[in-house]
Amino acid sequence: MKEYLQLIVGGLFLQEETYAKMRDVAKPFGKGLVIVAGIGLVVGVLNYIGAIIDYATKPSLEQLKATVFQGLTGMAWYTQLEASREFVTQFKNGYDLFWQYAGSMFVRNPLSVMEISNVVLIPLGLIIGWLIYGLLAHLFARLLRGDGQLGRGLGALALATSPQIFQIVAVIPAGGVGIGVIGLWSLVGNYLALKTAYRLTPARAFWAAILPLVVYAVVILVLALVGFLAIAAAIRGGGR
Amino acid sequence: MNTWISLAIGALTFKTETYQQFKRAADVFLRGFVVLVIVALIVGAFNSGVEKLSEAVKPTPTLAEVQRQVAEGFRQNYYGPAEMQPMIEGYIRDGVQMVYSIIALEPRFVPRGVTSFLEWIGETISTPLQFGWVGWLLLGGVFVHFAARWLGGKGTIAQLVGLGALAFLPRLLDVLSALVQLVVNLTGVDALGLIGSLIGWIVLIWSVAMYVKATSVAEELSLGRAVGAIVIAGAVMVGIVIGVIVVAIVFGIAVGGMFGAAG
Repeated sequence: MKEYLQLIVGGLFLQEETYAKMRDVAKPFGKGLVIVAGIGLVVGVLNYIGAIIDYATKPSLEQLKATVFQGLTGMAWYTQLEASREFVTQFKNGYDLFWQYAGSMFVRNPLSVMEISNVVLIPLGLIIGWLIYGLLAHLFARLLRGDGQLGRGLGALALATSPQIFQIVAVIPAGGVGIGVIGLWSLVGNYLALKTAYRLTPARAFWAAILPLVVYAVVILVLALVGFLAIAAAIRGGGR
Repeated sequence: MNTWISLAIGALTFKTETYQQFKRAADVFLRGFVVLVIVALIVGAFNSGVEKLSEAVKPTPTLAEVQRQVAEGFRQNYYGPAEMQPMIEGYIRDGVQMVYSIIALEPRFVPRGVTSFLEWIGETISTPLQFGWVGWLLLGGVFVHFAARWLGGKGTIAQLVGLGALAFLPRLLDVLSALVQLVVNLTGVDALGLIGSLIGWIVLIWSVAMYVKATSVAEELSLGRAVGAIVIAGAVMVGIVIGVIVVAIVFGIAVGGMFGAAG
């Protein structure tokens, strides 16, 4: 336990000797998996506690929903349209549907399936993200003439997930980490991990850390384009 | 405690041996982060505390007052058709009333005072983890480190971000800004806000100078080259932002074109 904590703290605070230690340990992949899963589980459990605290310190969703409904239906646009029974029914249905799906954005419900399953999904997501990034980074590190094995690379990269632990501040109301901070911190950790595990020069380690993110961006862009094309085709088809 | 105080004094007064000693520590980034956390917690506690105290001391504005203020703000910035103005103002009044009603809702189980206290703790604890604190330290660290290496720098990224964290020490003066703001909030004398602006400028100049010193020591560069590394890093960051905006515009035009063709 103490060894894992030392590894996490060393990884978090960018100590190169910790990354080198992780590269050289026996079974680096197994140890890395324990670290990523452990961090994910801590974050997942504390995220659930955060949902309980959020539930207790905010007004009920029903109250919020009723107040917003009262506000919206008191506006001029609604009073002009409320003569139509069809409009009133459709509006009410749409309004209920919105709160059913988006209500958790305003008040979290610790009894919801999403909140409960997040205890498992958060560590799982972290592990999957670590594996995908690790595979891509391994590929680029080798292309950039890096000298290292996948297991050792993944072991070192596991330490770079340690900034995720800061998500626990969101347990407290109004607490949270700034946008991009965890990603940026992890990126610096990834750079150190790749530099150490694959014995790369700083410039090559930088590119090995960045290029997997470029792949992510390209995939997202392609998916978005395909999505837009599909919608455009549907509009064209519907117009005929 | 004494060690930390002499570190702060040495760093704030640009003593080279303080920076060099700090650089030699194996856990240089951890130490730098501790400095940043202490400064951020003090500043965050004051800023958040001033906000809460102002809210508690000043009488809560009535719904009519808030509606009038928001409507005035709208009128000053409205350049649309005159016939639309009354209708939009009506919606603004209704919207403000709705927000006012939402804010007035009581928490489910925990009393409002306790919730407010928890929020103060949450805001304070989160301060060092905001982008303006550790985020900037890391982002700046990455770009400056590589620019410094290009100019012959020899430090590690941990050394640069660790020493760079010392440049947050002048932000302790933000406590004075927060106190000035409290006086402004309580007395309504806006002119005092100028003192806050002046403190802000002092903090900025002092921090930048300390960051140059930190870069110089961490990367073993002359002060001139350290300035060069920071300027290059800034230029690259601006270039990336412009590049991203251009890509977003091109993507938007392409998608718009697709929908236009579909229509």
